[in-house]
Amino acid sequence: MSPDHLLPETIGALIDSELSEVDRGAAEAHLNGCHICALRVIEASQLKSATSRAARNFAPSQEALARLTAVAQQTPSKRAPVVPIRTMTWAAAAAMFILAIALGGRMLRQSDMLSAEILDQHLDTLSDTASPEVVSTDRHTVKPWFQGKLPFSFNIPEPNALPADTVLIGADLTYVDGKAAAQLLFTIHKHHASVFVTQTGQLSEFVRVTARSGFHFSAGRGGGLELLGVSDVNGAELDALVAKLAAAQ
Amino acid sequence: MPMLGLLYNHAQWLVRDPAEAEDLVQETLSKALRAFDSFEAGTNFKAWIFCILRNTFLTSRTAIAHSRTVYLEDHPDVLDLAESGSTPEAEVIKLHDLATLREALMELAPRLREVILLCDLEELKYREIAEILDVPIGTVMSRLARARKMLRQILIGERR
Repeated sequence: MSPDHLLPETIGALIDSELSEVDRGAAEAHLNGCHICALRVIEASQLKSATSRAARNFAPSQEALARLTAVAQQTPSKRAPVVPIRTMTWAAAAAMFILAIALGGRMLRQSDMLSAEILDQHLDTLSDTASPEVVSTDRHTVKPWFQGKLPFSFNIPEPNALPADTVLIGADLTYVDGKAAAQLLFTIHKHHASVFVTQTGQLSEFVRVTARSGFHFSAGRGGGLELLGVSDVNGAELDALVAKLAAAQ
Repeated sequence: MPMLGLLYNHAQWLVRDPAEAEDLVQETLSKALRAFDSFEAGTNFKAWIFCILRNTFLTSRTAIAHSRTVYLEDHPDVLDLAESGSTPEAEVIKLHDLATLREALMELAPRLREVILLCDLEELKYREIAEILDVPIGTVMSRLARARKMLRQILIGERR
């Protein structure tokens, strides 16, 4: 094989979307001028697609499916060699397990993607060049700014009703999971926090991730709205802020 | 329950027998229930349970019998990744014939078949496949390349 052509591993990683941005750029630049490699990539993609279709080949009989479903729905506490753990924790674990089995892991993946999305948006507001569209500590300035921009309205508590040393510093109009949302910006001590406000049922999956990359997440509901908080402050203080905002709706 | 179907499909590719596949999935579910507190929220549930499935399979009678098989991938001189010299346009691959493709998949060495199933069918990331197979990501990439080359060779009838 000519050293000038893409390696089989590179073609594989390209069609599997596993190349880094730099490597993908280099591979695509090569493909622009190499007919043989371009054909190999097309052929590899077709083989991958056909393999996926062909490999979905075996399905359990109705009887086998019923037996397996029964096993999946057993609570761990009914099984013999279990690790000692509180009943409520087992009940929650069992419920989550059944849900994960039922949804094919999609719930956990979507929740994970949602947490990544709101963390990215929060991080954007932390850069030196970032400037919120509304810079104000006055809730009477921040709330009206969203009039006509969002298909819903929300309340912001009085400053003295917020948790200790928590200050509103501004807001942005943004999108979460493709839906319009208000991003309220706070400081808690010296930490920044974002709370995203959107309509209940607008998000594909409510965030269930509690921590990621050193940041905490908190979710709440109130008045037909969903609130998702993210901050590097401790989880309890973020929970307190989200709870206050949820209670104000 | 979609995940049960995925687990059963993968199990039958591993053991090639409906009853054994059901036993394997049943044992996997039992183990997963017992170990669910070890599942880390936010990570991929599918990768986690497929890892349990594979580990359960490896300790099964079928897998122990299969372990005596000599895998071509352990002999890279036999299974050379270098291209055969033919150009893609010269090769006619019967991709439209799913039955032929399934037979070709069945002909693959188990270790090559499982990596291609985890990647192409289950759409897991290389990092997740590496965790399931307990190998480095580089090994996942090279196994995938070998699996795809072997599959292609079987399909175009020029297997060496």
